[in-house]
Amino acid sequence: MALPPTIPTSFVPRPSAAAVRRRNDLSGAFAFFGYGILGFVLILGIGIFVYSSILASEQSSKDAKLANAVASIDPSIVADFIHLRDRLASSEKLLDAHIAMSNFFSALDALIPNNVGFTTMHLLETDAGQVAMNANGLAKSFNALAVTSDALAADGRIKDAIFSDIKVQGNAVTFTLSATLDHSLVAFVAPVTALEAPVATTSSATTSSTSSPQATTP
Amino acid sequence: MTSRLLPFLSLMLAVGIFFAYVNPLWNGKIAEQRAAIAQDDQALASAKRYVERENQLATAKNAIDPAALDRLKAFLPDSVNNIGLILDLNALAARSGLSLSSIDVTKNTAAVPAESSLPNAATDPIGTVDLKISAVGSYKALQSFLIGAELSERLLDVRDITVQNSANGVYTYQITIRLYWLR
Repeated sequence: MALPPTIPTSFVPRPSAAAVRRRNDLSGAFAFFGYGILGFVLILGIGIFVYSSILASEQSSKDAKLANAVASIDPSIVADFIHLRDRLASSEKLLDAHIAMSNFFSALDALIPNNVGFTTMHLLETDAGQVAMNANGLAKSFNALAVTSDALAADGRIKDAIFSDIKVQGNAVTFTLSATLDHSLVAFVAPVTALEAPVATTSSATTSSTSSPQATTP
Repeated sequence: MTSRLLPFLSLMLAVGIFFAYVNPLWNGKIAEQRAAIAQDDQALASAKRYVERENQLATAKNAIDPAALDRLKAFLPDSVNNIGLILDLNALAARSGLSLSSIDVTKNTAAVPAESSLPNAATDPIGTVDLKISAVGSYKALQSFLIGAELSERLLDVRDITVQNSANGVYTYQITIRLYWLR
């Protein structure tokens, strides 16, 4: 017996046609999104794999170039340059600090009167580059000692000259002199003409001195 | 049902691929490769600068007169060679009229004057030795000896002189001479 059309065939309500269409659209969008993301990630993975291969190739190429560059460096050449630099810089500094004590003796010859002399003398260059002088001397008279003191004061290069331990022995006067030498008095001045001999100290040894042996006891 | 499951599995697969392959590769191997390449670039640039600098220095060195370099090497030699120097000093003393009675050698720890900016530690390229000389001679002989030592081609610094007079006009000298060499 056929049911009349007004009687429903099921107790479950049948969805409307609009709802079914909406659900199909959502499923399609989700599927598009899921497949799209998968495709994108796959392309990304392949791209990264290719990029990594390119980087590996580039790195090995640059490593090889670097190895060549390192191999072309000769350590002995570098050592030579460093040694030459040290030699130039050190020589310059040492030459700047080089002193010539003979200048002091020449100056002393000119400054000290003939009737004053030294029995002992000690010159010492300190590590600071200053030259200190300590001497014991003998003057024929006190006036001669006074003239010496004046001469040293007037010259100014023998600084802080202090006469001490002054003793009168008959007509003569013994004394002790301590002083500091001005750098200009012992500064080395390079000769105008070049040294001839290549060996140390064998050159210019015969340079004559016009100074008189003033340090003899008067 | 299938129309929802497959896109969901695709999404899960994409997430898995991203976190299991793409991300570790990007942040791991590729990052290391890029860093290594950047270091290589820096090293290659340094190597290029080195070659340029080496050429400059070689040109500058070649411009120096070889005779001047030889004189500089004699001025500050590579070795102490104090025996050779003692022979030279002996010859100088003989020419000057000074008679050497003894020579003593003292090795120094302080290499250069304090005002010098040269390093004074183990890295100091300069070595020094003091020669303590006892001599006898006239005052003129001392002056001649001093001038010879000061003008010597090898750098000699007379750092200490003690002069003692005697009644016969012949003096006794204690002279300390510092000599230098490049380590």
